[in-house]
Amino acid sequence: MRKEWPLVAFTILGQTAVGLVWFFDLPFLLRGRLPLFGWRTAWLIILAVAAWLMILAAVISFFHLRHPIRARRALANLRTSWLSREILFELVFLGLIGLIGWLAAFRNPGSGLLRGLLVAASIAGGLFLLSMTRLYMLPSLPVWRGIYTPLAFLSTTLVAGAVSTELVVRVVAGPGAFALDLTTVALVLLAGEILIALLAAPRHGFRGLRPAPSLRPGEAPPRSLHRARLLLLFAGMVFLAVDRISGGTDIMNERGAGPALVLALVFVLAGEAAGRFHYYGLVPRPGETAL
Amino acid sequence: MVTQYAFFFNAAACSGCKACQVACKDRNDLGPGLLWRRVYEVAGGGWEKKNEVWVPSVVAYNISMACNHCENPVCGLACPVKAIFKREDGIVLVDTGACIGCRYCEWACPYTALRFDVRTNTVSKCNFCYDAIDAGGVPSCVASCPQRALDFGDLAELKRKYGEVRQIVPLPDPAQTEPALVLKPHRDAARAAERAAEVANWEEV
Repeated sequence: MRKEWPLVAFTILGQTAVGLVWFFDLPFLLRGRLPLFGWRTAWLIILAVAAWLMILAAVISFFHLRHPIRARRALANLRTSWLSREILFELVFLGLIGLIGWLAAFRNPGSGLLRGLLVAASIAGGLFLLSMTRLYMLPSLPVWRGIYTPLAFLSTTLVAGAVSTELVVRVVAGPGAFALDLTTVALVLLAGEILIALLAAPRHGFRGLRPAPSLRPGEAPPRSLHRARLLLLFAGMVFLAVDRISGGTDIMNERGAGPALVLALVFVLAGEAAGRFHYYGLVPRPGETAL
Repeated sequence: MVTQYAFFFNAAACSGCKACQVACKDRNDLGPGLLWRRVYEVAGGGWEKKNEVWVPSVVAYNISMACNHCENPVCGLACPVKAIFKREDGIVLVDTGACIGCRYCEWACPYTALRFDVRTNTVSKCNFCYDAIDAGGVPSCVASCPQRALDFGDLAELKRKYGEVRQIVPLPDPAQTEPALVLKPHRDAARAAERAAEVANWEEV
């Protein structure tokens, strides 16, 4: 389970990057506008952070390969392999946000082109998330096959995306400036994620799946990881609520994020990491009990 | 011409001696902890009350299992670099020179046939002793079984000879991969599910 840390980091970073782009860009796109006027700085920061998260995720993902040099052929099986598709959409998503950022920063393209690229990047992010989810929903692994995998991956995307977008927006423009009340949205999403974990987490949720006998060791991840995830996410909720009640301003100036929001993000990411280690611990590698 | 090589395993005859496991390990020079063929000890049940008398309800049998060279090899379908391929005679092989060591095939195979080899840093699995087969020989596991519980041949031929059973507890639903496998179940296998039988020797497999 601990050996899967590159996959834990890759999935959480990739999902946070998709959430960032979705939460910042979709409110503008839905109103038929572009975040060029008044929000240009925040937009460029969001794109830069998302791009760096994706690059970091890509670099970390190499640590779970034993022959990373050979991975240059990783797109060879797009016809049947969800891993090939995940890598393709990862590259497309990263390429598109890089292109959008470059155009917005150094060129003055038409708004139609930018809007089209933003829609394409949002869709590519969604396909990246979908392929990441399908990758684990293998018929051979009932504990990952069910509804829990898409719910867990989507909730990480939305919760981490909402909190980190709010942090960037708050630093650039101060509280209450963005069209969407992301603190409240994040609070609701976080409550949903905790509920999903309580009910549906395989092995340790109230109605979570217990695998039938198979040729795969039936070891369960430590229950403490499940509890740690719930506690950390709840702590994230508490700090979000504190941030909401206190108005979200920094003590020192009106702009900037207060410490409660920063702590909320830290606890949310820690909770997501605990949950993801629990997730990978559900399926031990065959033969490793003998080693 | 063989179109799909397959294994036959007679669970009723297997004594669990693990000669097949050791012969495979020896022939393929596998390192410590690495097993291409494994013998699972399946056990369940306990005691049950019958007319005021407690009687044992134990079920116990062995399953010798390697790669089943499936007709629908999901390991190969999951591999991003097409390092797992199927020969014309149905034998599924791993190209260790192309494997990137991502280990997704380990998760994809419901028979846990793919095993990570720490010496090559790639996955590895039963290759049906294809070099022996090509020379007109026999896979080492089949040759070593003192009970004659293992056999091999063309899948259609094995089905004609031994029947069509492909699943006993705790093997997966064969519809997932269409394994090239024919089984003769142990008599306890019929009651294994109701008596919650499961693998009892995880440390060895």
